[in-house]
Amino acid sequence: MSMATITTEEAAEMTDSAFYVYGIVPADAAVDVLDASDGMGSEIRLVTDGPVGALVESIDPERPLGRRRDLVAHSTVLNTMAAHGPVLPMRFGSVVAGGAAVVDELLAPQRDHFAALLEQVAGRLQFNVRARYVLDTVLAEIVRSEPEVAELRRRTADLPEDASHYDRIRLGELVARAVDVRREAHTRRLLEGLVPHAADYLVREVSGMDNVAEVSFLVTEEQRADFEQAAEVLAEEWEGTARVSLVGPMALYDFVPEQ
Amino acid sequence: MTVSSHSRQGGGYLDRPAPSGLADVIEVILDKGLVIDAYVRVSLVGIELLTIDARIVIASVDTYLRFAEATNRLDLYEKGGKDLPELVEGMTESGARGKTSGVLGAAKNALTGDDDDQGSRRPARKSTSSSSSRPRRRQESE
Repeated sequence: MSMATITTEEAAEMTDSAFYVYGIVPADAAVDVLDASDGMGSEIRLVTDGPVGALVESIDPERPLGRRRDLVAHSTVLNTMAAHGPVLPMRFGSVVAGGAAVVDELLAPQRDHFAALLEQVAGRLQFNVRARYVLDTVLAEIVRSEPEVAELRRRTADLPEDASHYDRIRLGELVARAVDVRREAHTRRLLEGLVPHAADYLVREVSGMDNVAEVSFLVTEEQRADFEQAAEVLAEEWEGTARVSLVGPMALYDFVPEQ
Repeated sequence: MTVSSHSRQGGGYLDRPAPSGLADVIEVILDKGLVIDAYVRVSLVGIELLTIDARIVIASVDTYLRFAEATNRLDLYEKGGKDLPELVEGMTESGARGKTSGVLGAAKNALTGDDDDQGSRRPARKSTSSSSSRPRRRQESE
């Protein structure tokens, strides 16, 4: 089955009771690119209203959303569209009741707003950068550079856990602080290297011992090559200390302009 | 389960995983995107719990003990701690991740399951630290 584009009049006749909305695209978006992505496109329709359109899929409203397939489809559809033109991602799990509502309640009332937003996001992409420590390397460095850590480590190593509980907490606290100091420095370095090649960025909360930083970047088409090169430079610089991964380009999940 | 492919381009050091791994997908898309409150019924079954769980910060003492354990586990004299072979590095990373991402990992597993058709399995965990929100830095106006 190939991608269907549906006009306002036809949408009113779509009798399915619920439509999942992936995102908003220009009415002339190249939706056939979805056909090529894992057969994902076969069920997805573009409902248009004037200059804007909604990527929708008929769903069973009784079935809870949140299965692996739902999440991956949301991401795949939006990222595929983003690679070929502007797209406004809807929040995962957005559902409208009935085909007529896609136009009457979603598209028509905000047609101008969506059109303006689509213009704003055109030529912009999101990349996510994540850095993770090669933890053993970093911990070894800390043991070597901090005598108190080395001493506590020596003292707790041969004792049963019960007998050295407080020493262990003290050891862990010192190590955690030392990692935090490095994490701050590494995050600064990451931002220094990449922010100049991005239009905007968002530092995300990280947890976990080995996490250095996770940052979302808004990158224009013009900045893209330099941005990717800067990430490569960073990854090389940190080789052995931290692994840097770059995910994207993807839809602007973190940079959709406010309503 | 789909394993994201880590391809190295141009002999580079940078990992370029496809954004198809489930964990990455969840991190990236949850809580993001347009919400048209007045017009769209948002049915996020099970998702609210997940986003709350993801924000749990492990209690500090527990964190310290993990660091202590990891530090004590180090074999400084045999492996030197630098220039570990990549294989060992990879194993270490996945090992550490398994230990430290317990809460989030459990929530993700409970949410998504390993069976696509068990959409009703939900994490029942409630969090006491639900008030913290992700830092948001909004796009410059143009």
